[in-house]
Amino acid sequence: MKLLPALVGLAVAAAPVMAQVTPGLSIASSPTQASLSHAQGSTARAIRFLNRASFGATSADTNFVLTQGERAWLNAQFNQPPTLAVPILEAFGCAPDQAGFDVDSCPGYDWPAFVELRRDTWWTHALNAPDQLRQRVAFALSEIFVISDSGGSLTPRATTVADFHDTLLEHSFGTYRELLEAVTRHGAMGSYLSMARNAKENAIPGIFPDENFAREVMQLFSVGTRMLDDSGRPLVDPQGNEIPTYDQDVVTDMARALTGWTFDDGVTVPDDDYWAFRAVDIEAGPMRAWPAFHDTGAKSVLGGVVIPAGGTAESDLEAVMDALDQHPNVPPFMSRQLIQRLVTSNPTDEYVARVVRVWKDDGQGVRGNLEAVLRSILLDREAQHGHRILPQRFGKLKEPILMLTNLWRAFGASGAVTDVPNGSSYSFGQAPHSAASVFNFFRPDFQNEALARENLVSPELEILTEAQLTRLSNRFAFVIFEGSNIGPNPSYVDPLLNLDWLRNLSAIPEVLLAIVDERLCGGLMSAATKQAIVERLDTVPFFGVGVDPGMWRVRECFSLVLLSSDFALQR
Amino acid sequence: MTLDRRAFLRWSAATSAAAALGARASARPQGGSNYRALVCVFLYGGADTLNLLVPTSTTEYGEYSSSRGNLAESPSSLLGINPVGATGGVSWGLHNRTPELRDLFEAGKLSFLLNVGPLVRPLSKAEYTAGVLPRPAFLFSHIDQQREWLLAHALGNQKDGWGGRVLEALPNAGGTSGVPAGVNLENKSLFLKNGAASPYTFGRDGLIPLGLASDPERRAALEAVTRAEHPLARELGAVRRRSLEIEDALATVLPSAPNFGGFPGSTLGQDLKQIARLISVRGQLGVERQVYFVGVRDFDTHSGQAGRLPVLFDDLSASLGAFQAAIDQLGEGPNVTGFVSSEFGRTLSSNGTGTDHGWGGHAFVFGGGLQGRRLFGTRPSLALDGPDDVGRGRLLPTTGVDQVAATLAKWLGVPPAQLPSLFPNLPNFPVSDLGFMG
Repeated sequence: MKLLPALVGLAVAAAPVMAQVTPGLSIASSPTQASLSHAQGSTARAIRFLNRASFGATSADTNFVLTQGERAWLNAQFNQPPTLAVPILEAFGCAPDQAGFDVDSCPGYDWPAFVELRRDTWWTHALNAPDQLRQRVAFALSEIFVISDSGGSLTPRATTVADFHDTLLEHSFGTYRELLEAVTRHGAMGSYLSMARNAKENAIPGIFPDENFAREVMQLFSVGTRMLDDSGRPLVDPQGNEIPTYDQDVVTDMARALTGWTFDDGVTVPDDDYWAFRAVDIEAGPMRAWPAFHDTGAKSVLGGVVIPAGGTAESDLEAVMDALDQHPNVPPFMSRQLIQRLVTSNPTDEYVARVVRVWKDDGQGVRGNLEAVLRSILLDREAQHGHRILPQRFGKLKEPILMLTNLWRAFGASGAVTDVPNGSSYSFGQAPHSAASVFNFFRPDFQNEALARENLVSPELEILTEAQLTRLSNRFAFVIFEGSNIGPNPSYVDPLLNLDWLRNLSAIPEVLLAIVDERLCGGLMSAATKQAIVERLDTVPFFGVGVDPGMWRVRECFSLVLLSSDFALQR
Repeated sequence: MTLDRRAFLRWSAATSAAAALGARASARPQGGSNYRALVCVFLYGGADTLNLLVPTSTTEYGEYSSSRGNLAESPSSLLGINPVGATGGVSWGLHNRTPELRDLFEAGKLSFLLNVGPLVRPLSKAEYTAGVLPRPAFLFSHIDQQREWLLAHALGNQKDGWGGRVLEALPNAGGTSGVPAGVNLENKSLFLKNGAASPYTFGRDGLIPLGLASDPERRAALEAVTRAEHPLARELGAVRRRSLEIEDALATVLPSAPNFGGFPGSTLGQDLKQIARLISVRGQLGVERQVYFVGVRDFDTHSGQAGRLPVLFDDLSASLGAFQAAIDQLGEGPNVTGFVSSEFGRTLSSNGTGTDHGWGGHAFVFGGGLQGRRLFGTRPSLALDGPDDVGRGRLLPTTGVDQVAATLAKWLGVPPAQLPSLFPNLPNFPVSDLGFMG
């Protein structure tokens, strides 16, 4: 049974109405484009830009970019308020883990249903929400600042996970310093990396501070393990060895500095009872300090920063956040990963360095201004022209989830998503906020044997295994054969692709393929791939007994394109 | 499950049958008479093996319980074991959720390797503290210590996993079937990464054919559209074509594999069941050497350890017990060896309800072809600030990963003279064969 699809529908009612695309006789991808008489290259360029900056180029967004430009689209997006997930859960009746709610006061509360609604909401917003850039960036951030509801305390905590997602959305365009603190103090992170309930040494006899968050906030959320130059390359000492960013002593003192925090249920008053400190249950929202369990001694944290004795949990946390934010590794370490998530797996040193300059100073003296950083990443000449100037290097493999959102948005599927989220890990090898560990679905430096020889990385390739690629392709086949408005399966519940208008166009396979290439491959499909597909389509009858003309050709075309390496490569 | 999910599964099943019918047959030499396989089970996250194998004699248990505090297992809960040979008066027990491991140990099919970890060379605590002699880089970090374990070349420049290097050193390991000798379960591993002998990643749900490839004409087009010049797209296309080829090779033999019962429904249980099924068709595939890798998650017990670790150990024990039973059923007991390890052990000391990243930990080997019911290596002191503690109860390893790897590589057939080139740090250690494989 599905969770109140009507309710999810309400939540997306604010989404822009997708431009209705009607069949045309030209190969232009929409009437608007034809009437504006833009060169085909402009449309393809707009689509490529939007595939980096959103969950996929829709006709509406493509037209916006074509008429007003990329900068105007970004400006509009930076002004879009976030489409949040928690209100959807609250509207469902009751959202525990929020101040004023708890499980006991939620009649009929059923956590699996909430988890399902949380996942449906993520997909539904990814597909429909007007704040596309924000949603897309928050997804990227969720793969860096990882929490997961897979196999841990957060598994039944849909509200906490959704609230963490909303926290990423709300801080996607602010400063890194604000984002880092919001992430650090969030109950979901407190639970996932056990900073919550972490007490000073000997709070009860024989215990030491938990080092989990202290280590990973450095290794994964800020500076990494090796000192970097401003293009993100490791620095080496005179002997040629890489230089560690911190050692175990720093981890130990960082852990001490971050003691004394636990969840805030809005009721429990801090005191000096250790087991009471530990007993506060997981809550969404920022954690609160219990002074009795904070280590007030002096600490020497990242980058040689000394925190003097006598600080509070709050003041020490601020000092740690400042030490992280000011570390020289942050701009290259974070910029490179954001570039990889949005644009290209192997940015040139120069591209990273250009973004790093903006990270250090946005022109107004602000460090880590993510809005400026995102502008810099998405408007960089390498992002815009990399497919021409670096044809053997520029680009990235699409994450499996993004392959489907790209397809749906390119061909007018909109509305509530309620089936795909159930099998996301199986079909895609990934599910939002559900990675197997804090190391995300894949590592930023993954390379297979052949790519290692070429000094290239491909993070997404790590989850595109032989087995996973087959599952993914079988899911695509299902979507194409059962989930479009050409003979849909009546039991298919996810948004339908609008492919019917392509049937007549398939009389000339080249015409059909040009549209699909532009929308799904940014117009960069290779000649060899095109030839293979056209030759195959020529063998598929246009007319068939009992089927609408062109049905088999359209399905065949999408089958081949979606399984092509051209489609999998975002350029 | 929604209606539409059922439709999806039905659709997949229909096309699977078609694919099986259309699969290309290929010549299959008979083989497997000289078969050996290594199954590496890696416990991601840093398993707290100090609570898996616990000393129970009064003095040693006292040391253990005083260091572990509220995380010490109670002596009465432990499952006693009776190791072969001199134990220096120390008695031992296993965690009470590992009865299958106890049974394997007592049956001579399992041995522990005490306090193993990545080392460049043996190191005393004084040498570690002085900081002059080389030690592994980025100690106590998950990813970096996974690298050190799976590459078995601390501080070195090896890029291929040691499982992959071993396979490369074994001529004709993969037979002629087209199925690689290195097989990952469900997820890729660094362990089998190799430039010359690429591994294959087999799915936990078994052989699932690509539905769209069941039509031979479409299949030709599908293969054509996987060709690309861009390196990233090219590599993805290569995965696709390999997937199709290996699917062909397995489609004619795997359906006849036994559907072993007794495996837990956990990811590890299902992964090991698939490995047992693949091993069962070794003869049809004509393969003589195989190396499998399966990873298990969630061992990073910083908090709630008393609740989480028993569940993890329970699954590990039940899954390995079922696997050994399946291998014994195939009559390959002496020819299949399992190796269980983790990127690091954990601190002896508690952080409240959990433990933090350590260094040395206990590993173990299991199977019918090893010197079982033994404890190999040096028993570490479990005293905080004791001779083996480099801080909070992080144990300085006394046996190197390279030594364990070399012992297993030799068993698989790598000539001893070749071991130092496979494991460049090996000459730094006093022995290269720890003797657990006989």
